[in-house]
Order: sequence, then C-alpha cells, then structure tokens
Amino acid sequence: MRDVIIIGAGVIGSAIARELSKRELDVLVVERMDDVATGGCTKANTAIVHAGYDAKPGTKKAYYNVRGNPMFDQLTADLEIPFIRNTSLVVAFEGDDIQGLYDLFTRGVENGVPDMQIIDETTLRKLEPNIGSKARAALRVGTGGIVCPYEMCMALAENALANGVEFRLCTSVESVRPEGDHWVVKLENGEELTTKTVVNAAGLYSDKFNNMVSAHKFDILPRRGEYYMVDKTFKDVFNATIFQLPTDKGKGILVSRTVDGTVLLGPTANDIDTKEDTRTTASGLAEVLEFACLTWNNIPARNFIGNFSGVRPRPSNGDFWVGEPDDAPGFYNAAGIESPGLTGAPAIAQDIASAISERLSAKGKSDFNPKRHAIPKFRELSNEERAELIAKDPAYGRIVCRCETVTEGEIRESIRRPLGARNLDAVKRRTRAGMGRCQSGFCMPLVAEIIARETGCRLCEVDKGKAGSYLRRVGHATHRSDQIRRQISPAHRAYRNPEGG
Amino acid sequence: MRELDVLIIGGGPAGLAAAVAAKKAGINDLLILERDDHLGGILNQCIHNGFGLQAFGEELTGPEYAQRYVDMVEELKIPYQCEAMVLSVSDDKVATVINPKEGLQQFKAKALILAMGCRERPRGALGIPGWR
Repeated sequence: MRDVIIIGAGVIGSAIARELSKRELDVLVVERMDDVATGGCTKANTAIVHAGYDAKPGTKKAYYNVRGNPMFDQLTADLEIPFIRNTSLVVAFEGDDIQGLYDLFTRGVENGVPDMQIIDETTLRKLEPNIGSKARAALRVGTGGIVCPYEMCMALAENALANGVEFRLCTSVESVRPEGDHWVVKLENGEELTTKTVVNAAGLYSDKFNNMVSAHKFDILPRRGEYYMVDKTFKDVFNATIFQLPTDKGKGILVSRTVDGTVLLGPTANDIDTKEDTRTTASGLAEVLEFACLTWNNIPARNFIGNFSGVRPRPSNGDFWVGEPDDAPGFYNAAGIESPGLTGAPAIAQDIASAISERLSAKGKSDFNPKRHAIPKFRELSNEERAELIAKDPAYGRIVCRCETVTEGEIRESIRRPLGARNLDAVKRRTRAGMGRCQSGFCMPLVAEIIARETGCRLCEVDKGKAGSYLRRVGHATHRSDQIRRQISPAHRAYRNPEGG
Repeated sequence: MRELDVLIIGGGPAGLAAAVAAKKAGINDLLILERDDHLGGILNQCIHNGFGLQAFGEELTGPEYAQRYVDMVEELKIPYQCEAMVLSVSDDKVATVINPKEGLQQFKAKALILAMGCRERPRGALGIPGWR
C-alpha cells in the first residue's frame, strides 16, 4: 500500500510531490496527460508571482499568496527556474477613481504585503516611459514577479522524481473511495491502487474527486482567459508587470513581459461550458486589444507571434480548498486553485505535506537533494560558454530552432532527462524550440526527427501533443497507431474536432 | 577573428548568385555561410519546373536550378561552410557564427551580403482566433 497518491501533476500536485519527497514516504503521482504541466491551468496562465494586494483579506487566496511569494527566491534558485522580481504596477487612467488605488493599498497592508507605494504620474513615467498617455497614477508593489509556470512545474516534478517520488503519466483516475482505514484509487483501466492518503490536485476536475468523498461539495466553474503574445523584440517596452485598476467596465487587461522576453497581453475572463474549451475567439482577442491599448498605446500588431487561452479552475465558493474535509480523513484537497495559485503553490504544498507527514508520522529524509539542474539555455550563454559547450558536445553547435536559438544538444537533453519529452509540444515547453515568431514552421520536422531517433519510433509516429495527435497518418496502420486509435474515445475526437469539421 | 572582403549569409539562390557575381568581379577573399547541411536553400523543396528560363534558357526544377549555381561556386572554388548558423551581426560587420565542427567563429567583413530568405507569418502572428 502506498503512503500517498497525488492526483494531478500540475504545478500544485508537483509542488506537493516535491515537498513530500523530503520525508520517508512512498508517494505516487498519477496524471491523465502524457506529460506534467499539461492538463490545464499550469501550461497556460499569466505567469505572475503576485504580491498579494488583490485577494480579499481573510481568504485562503490572500493567505497563501502572501506566504508563497517570498518562497520563490530560494525555490527558483534551488531548481534553476526562470524568475524575475520585476515589480508590479496597478495603473489608474484618466477618468478612473484614484481612490481605487488606495483601497488596493489598504487591502495589501491588511494582507501583510510589504514594499508598496502610491506613485504620481511623473514618477510613473520615469519608471515606465512607454506607459499610455492617459495613465495618471499607480500602485507600485516591489515584491511582484514573473516566473515560467510550466518550467516551474517540470522542475518540481523532476526534483520530486530524483528524490524518490513515482510518476504515472497517461493515467486517468476514475474514482476514489474509502475502505476501512485506507483509500482505493480506481484507474480508468480498472486497476485499483490502495493508499493511506490521497491528495486531490486535479485542477479543473478537482470538484469531481472531492464530491465523491465529502458532503462539503463544490463545483469547478471553468473560466477562460485569452491572451496575445508579442515578439521578444519588445521585451523592454515595460519593466514592471502593468495591471489596470479594476473599474466597473472590467478587471482590466495586463501587459507583462515574460521571463523569456516575449510580452503577454491578457487575460479576458469568460465563463464557459466545458473545461477543455481552450479556443481563442474574435471577440475575446478584440477585448484584449481594446483594453491593452490603454497601457500600451501603439501595440505592434505586426509583431504578434501567437494567441492562446487558458482555463482557470474557478471554485464555486470563490476560495481555494486546502486540506482535509472533516468527513474524509486522509483525503486532502488542494482544489479550486485558480489565481493566485501559482504564487501560493509552495506554501500550499508545505501545509499539505506537513499535515500528511503528521498523520503518517513520517520521518525526514536525510539524503534529500533540493537541487535540480535546468537544461542549458544556449541563447542565454556568453560566446565563451557557447564555444566551450560545442567543444564538449558538437550537438550544441547545431541550431534547430532559429527563432529561439535552440540547439540539438538542448533538444536531445530534453528527451533524455527524467520525465523527458516524448512529443513536439513537450520538447517545446522544455526548450522553447517552436515557441518563437515562426511558431515551429521551420524546426518542427527537425525536432520530430530528433524525437524519432532518440525514442526509436518512426517519424510518422511522433505526436504533436497528446497521444494520437500524430503528424502524419500512415497508409498501413502500425502497431502503435492502431493502439492509439483504440485509445481515442468519441469524446476525445470531439475535443480534437469540436466544430465537427 | 578572421577578416574577409565579402561575407555572404545564406547559400540559397540569392547568396550563390551573389557569390558568383562577386568572384567574377574580382573579389577573391569571400565566404558563403549556409545554415542547412547543403547549399541550395528553398529551391531544394521547389520540385516543380519552370526555373532557369531567363538565366539558362531552359526549364529546370528547383534543385536542378540550384545545382547549376552550386556547380559554378565549386568551379570558381568559392569557399563555403554548411551547418553554419549566424547568431548575430554587429554594427561594425562582425558576424558570430557557430557550426558543429568549427565551434564558435567570428568574421569581420568589409562588406556583408544578407541573403537569408524570409520567414512566413504563421496563424498566430496574424491574430486569427481558433483552437490550437
């Protein structure tokens, strides 16, 4: 019997797995997707480490946000996760009620947020010369930051794995039920796993598992956010993450550089019917532009490189569900974790792991290794470091993705490392190959060749993303594509082809 | 750092033709840099015919047309490097280049010819909404 089964390998499940790996515990993470960080919110969000002035005082959101934020310096250093404390600015524009900035300031003080100032227009323009002409004042918060959310998740998972946690990918959980003093986790393939405790970190589907075991029910109401991404040529347009003061017209659209230098505009907030509806829409993207123009007057629409959407797991009660429901001992929720969940993740993980360790009287692990080494980023190295790397391994002298300057060496490493990439999107998330301005037009076939060579499959069997998204259907079904076809249920087909066309 | 008279970035039709013209005009200290593992550039994937009517008075496919220029480059003994990717070009015309064999190299040229072709603008760049 396992000590812990964690459902979900998003940033929350992975953070909990790593925290648990500091103890002598037998931990398994099950993930329905074929990679970590891909099931929902973790791979597509605004990538902000929030300061904590926004959440309502007294909520779990406020508590975990303010506690999680200062943990990022040590965590990102240990795990080599890209992270920049670039500060946050909430900007009030002409016609806005400036009082709103003071309300946020007061809320921040109540939540315990340090390093906040209200700044006037002159100071604001000194800090951000490119801010829109109607900007009048701002709340500046020094602890605001940006992080790479999927690399954070992959780093946490890789480190958890290195410290003994087991992962099973492509593994859907059908049900969870108590049996005597333990729990039975039934998988979609019929297999039953027994465990002393269960962690529900199932993101968009966390309502399903909680509602199976507890009378304290909630629903996850999916809310979609749409974004535009601007080419990294514009990385210096703003230093800080620029929020807009929420008004009766809306919560505003933010403009923020990412740790990779691209600039993100978004998100919208639309309640949707299905949890997998990650399309972008003409009206949503128009809304992004309409509001973002206030912050950035001359948005260079010719330099968009993409648009995407993410679905937030909004809990029906409006707050995070963290911990054991009183009627389900041994079942731990880390559920309904929408924004600021990325920021709260390290603190949420600490609390869940302590509670489980206490219940199971787990001892600390003496040989826990807190460090994880990132894949070398050729694009960020000096010429001397580059020359050295190529001399050691010629594969680093071959550029595969030209837009992002990604070498064959990096791609190979992303496949060979623990929890390694097995498809094009997984390579992309680990190396940025295909994430630049041509959006993989040039490097896709080259990356596919490397994956085929490294994993020993045929080129036509390489998937773009999730299982079954093969690049080219072959005339005679191979053994593997036969299997894939069987795996794709009608529901999956509906997802791949939502308009029926 | 190696100094050169002319550095040509791109070994496709434009770069090859430019190299041949420069050589015929009397420039001997020149070099072509090509990112792919062979010369020819985009012509190698243009397998339809109709190339070469103006230049050679006959109908050729893309690869055949490219080969004519590759042959001229070889015949004129114009040096080139394949699998060579230019990482940056500075204001004083220093190109930083990598390839798996030579590693990282720098060339300072009196004149640079940029013949790198172009990139398509994908769906995302055009702001077209939809499913990923």
